[in-house]
Amino acid sequence: MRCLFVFRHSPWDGSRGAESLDLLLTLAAFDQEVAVLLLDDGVWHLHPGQSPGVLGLRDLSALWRNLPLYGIGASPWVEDESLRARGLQDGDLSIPVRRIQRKRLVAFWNRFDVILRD
Amino acid sequence: MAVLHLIFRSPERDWDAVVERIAPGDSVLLLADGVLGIQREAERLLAKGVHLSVLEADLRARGFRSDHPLIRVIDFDGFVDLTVAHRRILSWK
Amino acid sequence: MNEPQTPAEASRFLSYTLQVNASPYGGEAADLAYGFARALVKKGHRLKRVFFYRDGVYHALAGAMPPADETCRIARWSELARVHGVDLVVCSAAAQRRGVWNPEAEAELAPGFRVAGLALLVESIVESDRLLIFG
Repeated sequence: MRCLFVFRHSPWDGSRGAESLDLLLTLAAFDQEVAVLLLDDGVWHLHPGQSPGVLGLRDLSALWRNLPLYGIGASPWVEDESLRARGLQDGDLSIPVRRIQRKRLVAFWNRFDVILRD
Repeated sequence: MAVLHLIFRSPERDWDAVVERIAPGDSVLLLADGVLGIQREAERLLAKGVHLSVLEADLRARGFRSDHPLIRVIDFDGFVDLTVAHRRILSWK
Repeated sequence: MNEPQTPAEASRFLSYTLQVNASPYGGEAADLAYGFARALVKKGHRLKRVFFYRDGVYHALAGAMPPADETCRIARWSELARVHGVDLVVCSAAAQRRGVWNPEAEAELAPGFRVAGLALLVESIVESDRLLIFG
C-alpha cells in the first residue's frame, strides 16, 4: 500500500510531533511504502540546531536523520511555497529533501492509496 | 481520480494555501468552523470547479442556511456517501 | 485498499478505520467522529475499528459526569460499542503518557474501550477500504 504522511505542524506543538513520528515509523515497520510530505509549519521539523529539550520535548532530529534505517529510504517532499513563506531554503534544512511546487500537489495526492497526517 | 477534502478550519485561518492544493473535480466538504467559509469562499471554490458540500448540522448550529443550487447541504449519511465515493480523503484543520 | 470506484459501485459496503486524535471535550472534531461513526454503522458499512490516539485517548476515562444538559461524549461511544460491537481501542503509549491507563495498575477504562499498540492502528488501516482522521 502506498502511504503518504503529511506534517503541517511545528515540532514544538506539544507531543504532536513525537506521536506523529511514532505512527510514521510504525507504518514503515509494517513494510508499507511510505512517503513524507512537509507543508506549512511542518517544514520546521527540518530546521537544524534545535534544542527541544529546553521545552521538555523529545528531540526528534535523530529520527528524521535516520528515516532510512526505519525503512523510509526516499527523502521527504517539501513544498516550495511553505519553505519560502518561512524564509527557508532547502540548503538550510537538516537533511536532503525533494522539492515540490504547490500547484503540483493537486495531482500528487493521487499517487497514494491512503493519506495520514500529524 | 478525485480527492475528498474535509475542511474543518475557519476561513479566518488562511484558506489560500489549502484551496491551492485542491484540484478541479475534487470534492470539498465544509464542516465544523469550515462551514463559515460558505459566506465568502464558496464562490471561489465553485469557480475552481470543485464539488462543494456543507454539513447541515454545522451550518444550522452557526445560524446559516444555503439555497445555493451548486452547494449540497448534507447530513452524516451524505458525509458517509462522499467517503464511499472517494478513496483518498484529506482533512484540513 | 480497494481500487477506486465508479459512481455505480458507490452503494456497496466498505470497511473503515477511524482515527480520533481529538479529546472528547476539546472541540467539535470528536463529535463529528461520533456522528460519522453512527451513520456509518446504520448504513451497513463495516466500522472495523475506532482508534483513539493523541488527546483522543481521553475518551476512555472512566467516570465522566458532564452536566445534565450536555451530551456525555464518552457514554455514547460505549453505547455504540455495546449495540453495534464496534471495536474501540485507545493507544497504549498515548494513554500511558497522559495517565489514562497504567499497565501496573488495574486498568479502569470506560465500558467498551480496550488498550493496544500503534501496530493495531496500522494493521487496521492496511485492512480497511477507508481511513478517516478526526482532530
